[in-house]
Amino acid sequence: MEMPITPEMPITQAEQAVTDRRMAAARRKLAAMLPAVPLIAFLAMFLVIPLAIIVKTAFQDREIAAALPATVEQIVLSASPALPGDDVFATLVDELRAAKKSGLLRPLARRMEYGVEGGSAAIMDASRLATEDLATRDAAEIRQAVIDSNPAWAGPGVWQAMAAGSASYSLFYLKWALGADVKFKADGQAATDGTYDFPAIYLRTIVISLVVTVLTVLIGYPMAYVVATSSGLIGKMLVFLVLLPFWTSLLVRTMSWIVMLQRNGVMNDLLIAGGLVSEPLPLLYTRFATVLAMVQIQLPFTVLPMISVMRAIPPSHVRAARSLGASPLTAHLSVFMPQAVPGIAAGALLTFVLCLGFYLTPALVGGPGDQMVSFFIARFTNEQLNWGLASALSLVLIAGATVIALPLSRYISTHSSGRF
Amino acid sequence: MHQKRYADLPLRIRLPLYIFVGLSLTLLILPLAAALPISLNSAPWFTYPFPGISLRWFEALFGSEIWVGALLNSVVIALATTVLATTLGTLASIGLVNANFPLRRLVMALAIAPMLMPVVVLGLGLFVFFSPIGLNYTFWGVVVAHTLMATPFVIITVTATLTRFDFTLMRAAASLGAGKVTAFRGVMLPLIAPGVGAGAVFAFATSFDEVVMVLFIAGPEQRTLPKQMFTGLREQLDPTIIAAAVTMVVITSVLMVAALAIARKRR
Repeated sequence: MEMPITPEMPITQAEQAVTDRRMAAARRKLAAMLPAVPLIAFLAMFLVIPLAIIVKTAFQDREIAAALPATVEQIVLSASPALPGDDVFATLVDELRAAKKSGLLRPLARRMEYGVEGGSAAIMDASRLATEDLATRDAAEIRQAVIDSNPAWAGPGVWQAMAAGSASYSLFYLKWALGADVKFKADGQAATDGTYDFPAIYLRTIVISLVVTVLTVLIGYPMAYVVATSSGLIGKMLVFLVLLPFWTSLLVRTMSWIVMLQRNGVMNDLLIAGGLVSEPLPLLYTRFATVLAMVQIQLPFTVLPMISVMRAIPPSHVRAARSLGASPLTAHLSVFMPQAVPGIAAGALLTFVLCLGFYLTPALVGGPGDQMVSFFIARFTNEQLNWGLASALSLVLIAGATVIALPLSRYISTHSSGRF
Repeated sequence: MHQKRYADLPLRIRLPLYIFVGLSLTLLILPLAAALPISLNSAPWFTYPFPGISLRWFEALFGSEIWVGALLNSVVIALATTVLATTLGTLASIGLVNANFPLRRLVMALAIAPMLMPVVVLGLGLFVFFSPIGLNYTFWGVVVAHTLMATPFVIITVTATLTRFDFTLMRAAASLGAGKVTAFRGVMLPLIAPGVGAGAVFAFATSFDEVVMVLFIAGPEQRTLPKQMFTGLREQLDPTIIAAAVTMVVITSVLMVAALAIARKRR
């Protein structure tokens, strides 16, 4: 039991009581936290650290400086970094030889290819020259030998890329992920990335997510209304129908769309039987298939928050409006719907945020032009081993989702009065 | 007292509303209802009507070493994930419902975050993190990744159960001389068991269904059923994949029904 502090208490005793109280509060906090310690440790290890690593990987750019420290220093310090002197070539040959031995050569070649067209070939060709015998020749001869090995070494592009990648941390991958031209041509001009148009991919991700969100709200609102206002067995069955696909595996649901939308599948059969088309349509691997499957998969996520908010709206409000002469539609629009807005916003926000990160469904039912940011993150991680770019794309995705979601979630939490 | 709230809407609004909602529910259910029975089609095509009913695709599934191995891998990984996620999640929930918990909102947000974050981002982070410590392409690497994704479900179900738990019971147990662990095992756990059971089933289902993390982290030794299905779907649709999907749905449904039945009985 805590000791009460009274005015007639001696000072030291009062201080003691205050300290005791603080200690007790601290002990209570510690005791409350104790059972959560394993999870906190787990999350710190396998969520916080990996996310921090993504941030680090997005900015880390050390392959060039690690393999060619002296070369890089010489060209950065020299008066004309784009056209270095003979001595730089000698340093380059020395360092390429060392890089070959230490295993830094392949990462260097890969990074140089990101920075300049033909960069990988230039590095590999010059590294083949880096023999003991060449090291005994004079600088001008070495320069000629390097340029003979690959003409790219004569142009400024390779050297510009090297100078641009000279720091251990840079904005290289972030700029790349944001669609800036980070690559040089061999002649030193900026090369446009013809393979990946990232701004278009972000736009596509946002547009698909937005279309899916709007469709789920339009389809989900009447559904939620009917479910929320039905009671008894029918109400229970409706909730079951909404929840059934929700509990079914995402992969199974995506697979069932592939089965449905086959060229000789159920959907085309229905369309032909209904006389709507005479030839089977190519439905699969299209934007239509992607949006359709995503709407079906996300619908329960949109509907469930709506149902929980709508159930809390007292039916007496609508009845009161009706008894005061409002038409059924007016009563619904001006009394019921405004109270349901927090639920609509929560469902829409949840769906939008989840859609931004969709990978599986577009990868399986979409075409090459329907892939969203996640697809490219997976591709750069697993196929191209470009972790820097994959991390930078992840940062853009997370930052974008947060910027869009945060104001909306503030709005929802202030207007829902803790109903979720 | 049964109240017909629908009396509020006249028929000319109600009828189109019901038709629209009926069609929407069809959209929700139709793909599953249409696709899964095709696993029983005796012919290798994907339309109705079937020339005959047969179990040949299930025979192909359970006769194939690759598919059976994948199924076993999935079960073992899902079981390990369930144990880990349920333990971590249940313990954490007990802390998180306590008002004295410092930074409760932050920890809760962090614990739920894996549910909202793009899976590929989590996969990339774990892959780059695991790479130097040798957890990629290992059993435990996959289990850790799945536990990260499954724990939020455990936390949500268990905290929901705990908000209805009467914590004075714990004080009563303590006043009768029970230690904290004894009180947890003897008083709290039996009462929150339905929530923990439901959380465990969700954890199992999450891992059992998961494919993206497996694509990032797993090696050939951890080839799971969803991974096998994903690979198959990318190449050529084959009714064996539908049979695998049905198997997956059946296993998950049986577990869910069992958890529901246990929860009912206890009440």
